[in-house]
Amino acid sequence: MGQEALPPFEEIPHTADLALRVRSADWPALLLHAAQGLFYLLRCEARGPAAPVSREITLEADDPETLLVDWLNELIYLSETHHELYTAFAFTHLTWTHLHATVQGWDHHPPQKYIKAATFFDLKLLSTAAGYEVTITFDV
Amino acid sequence: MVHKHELIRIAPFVYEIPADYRPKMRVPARIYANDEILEMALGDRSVEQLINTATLPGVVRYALAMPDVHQGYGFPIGGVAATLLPDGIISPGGVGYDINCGVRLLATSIEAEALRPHMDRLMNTLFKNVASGVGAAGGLRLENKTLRAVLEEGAKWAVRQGYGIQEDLEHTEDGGCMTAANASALSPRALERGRDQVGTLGSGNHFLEVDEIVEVYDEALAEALGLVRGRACVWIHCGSRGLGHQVCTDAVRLMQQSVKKYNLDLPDRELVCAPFHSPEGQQYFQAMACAANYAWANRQVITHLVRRSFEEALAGRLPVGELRQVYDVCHNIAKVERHPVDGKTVELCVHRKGATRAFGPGRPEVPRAYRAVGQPVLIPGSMGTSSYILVGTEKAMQDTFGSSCHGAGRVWSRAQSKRSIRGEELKAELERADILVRTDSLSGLAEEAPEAYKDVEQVVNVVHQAGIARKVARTRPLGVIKG
Repeated sequence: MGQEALPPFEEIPHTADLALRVRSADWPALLLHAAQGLFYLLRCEARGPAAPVSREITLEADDPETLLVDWLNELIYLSETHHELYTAFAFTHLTWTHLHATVQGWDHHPPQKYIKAATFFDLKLLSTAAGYEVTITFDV
Repeated sequence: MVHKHELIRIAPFVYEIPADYRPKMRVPARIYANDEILEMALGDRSVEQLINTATLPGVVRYALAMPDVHQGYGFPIGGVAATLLPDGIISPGGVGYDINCGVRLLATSIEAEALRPHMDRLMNTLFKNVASGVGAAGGLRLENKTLRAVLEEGAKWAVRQGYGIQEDLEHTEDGGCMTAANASALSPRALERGRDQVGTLGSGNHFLEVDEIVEVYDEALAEALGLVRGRACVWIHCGSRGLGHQVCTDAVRLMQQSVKKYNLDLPDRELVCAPFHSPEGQQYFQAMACAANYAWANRQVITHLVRRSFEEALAGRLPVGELRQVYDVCHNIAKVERHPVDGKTVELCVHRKGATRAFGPGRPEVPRAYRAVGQPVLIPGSMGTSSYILVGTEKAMQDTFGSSCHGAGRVWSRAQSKRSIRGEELKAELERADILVRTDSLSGLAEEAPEAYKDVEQVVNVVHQAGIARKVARTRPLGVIKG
C-alpha cells in the first residue's frame, strides 16, 4: 500500500495518554493535519449559539519539532480557555522555525476531552517517500 | 524492547535491569512486580522509559518502577528517581503536567449501612456543589493578590479563609504548603489559567468517592489512623488543574535550551532538565511548588464543599459529626529530601511521577499523630473497585527513597476502553452493584472502566509483600463522582 493511501492523521494506542500519527506531503500540511488531529481528539461540541471567531498565532522555535509542539500547545490553550473550535488554519508566514497563522472557527464549542499538553516524548520528524511523518503523544 | 529473561530477580517482587544493559545508563533500573504485573509492564514502553530515567545526570542508586507502572511520556507513570544535590538535575518530565495530582481521605463517624438510604440525596448534593468535568470553573474567581496567596501558602490560605481546620494541615503532606513557592516564577498564562479553578475536580481519572471501610488488616494501625470497619469515608482525587499543566508546559519548553546550555545528553526530549541549583532549575522548582500549593488549596476547598454537602444532604436525617482528614498525599512531585546513599545520608531531589511518598515511622515529616506508625499511604483503586490505606515503612526508607505505588495503573488505552465498554452499560452495572454514579461524561466514564486497570489488590499486595508499605484497611465505593 502506498503512503498516499494512509490517512493524514490517526490515533494510535497509548496505555495512559493519547497519541496521534500524522502524515503529510510537506511541512505546512503536517502542521495542518496535526491541528486537525488535535481537534478530532478534543471533540469540541456546541454549547449555545456559536459565532465565528478568528485568532492570530505567531511562534518562534529553535527546530521544527519544537515549533510543532508549540503550535499544538497554543491551540490547546486557546481552545480550552476560550471554549473555541478551530476548523480553518491559514499560514501567512511559515518556515521550519517560525510561524504566523490565522486560525478560524467557532466560539461556544468547549472541548469535551481534556488534553493537558502536547509532549516531546519520542518526537521525531521523519522523512518518508511521500513526505513527512511524526508521532505526537498528548498528556490527558 | 526488554525481555523478561534480561531482568534479574534480586529479591521477592524486585527485578533489576543492570546498569550495563544499555549505554549511558548511570544506575540500574528496578521494578517492583509479581509475575503477572511484570508481564504487563513489559507489554508497553514503560520499562524503556524507566531505563531512560536511569541515564539522568546525577541519578543515584537506581531508577524505580512501582507495580502500578505503565507507559507515560518521559518518565513512566509509577516512576521514582532521585538525583544527588547540589549538582543533580530537576526534570519537569519527572513530575508531569498535573503537578501534585494527589489523594485526600476523610473519615466519618457515620455507619455506611445508616448512610445507604440517603446516598442518592448525598451524591446529588455533592455533584451539585463540587464542580467537575472538562474545564470546570469553581465559585471562586481569584484576583492577583489572592491568587498569589494561594500559590505561596497552599492549603494554609484555604484554612485561613475558613475552608478547613488546623488539623487538616497537620494531616497533609508538607502541611499543604511547599515553602519554595514563588509566584513570580509563573508565566502570565499559568496565572490566568489558575484564576477560577480552585475547588474543582477536573476530568480524566479524577474523582470524588463515598466509600465504606470494609476490611481492616491491622487493628492497631487502623485505630492509629482513626479508621473503623463499617464506617463511611470520602476519597478526593484531583490536582493543580490548568495552572499546573501550564507550569509544566512552560518548563519543558524553557529547558529545551538548558540541555544545550548545560551540555546534557538525554535519550528523550521530554526528559529535559536543568541542574537543580541553576536559574532554570530554581525557576521550575519555585513554579512547581506554587502549582503543588494550588493543588493542596484545591483539595482543601473541595474538602470544605464535601463537609458542607454532607450537612446539607443529611440534615435532619442522620447526625453527620466530623469529617476528619486522615491524610493527603501527592502523586506527581519533586522534593528535596534526605535519604541514605552508599551508607551516608545525603540531600536528594526525589522525583515521584505517579508514585506516593511512603515515609516510615519516626521521620519528622510524618505528622505527630502518625509518627509511631508511619505516614498514611492512600491507594485508590479503579472506579467501582476497592481502595486501600497503607502506611510507610522503614524498608521503604532504605530501599525506595520512602516511596510506594499510587494506584492500580492502566493496562488498556483509552481508545480500547471506549471500544470495549459502553458508558451507559458501565453505569448500570455499577448501580446494580449498589455503587451510585454521577458524571457529565459517559464516554469519560467508559475510559475509566475497571477493566482498563490492573487489579489494584495485586498491586497493593506487591508493595505490602515487598515491605515498602503495610496494608491497614480496604474501602469499597458506595458512590462515585467521575470528573
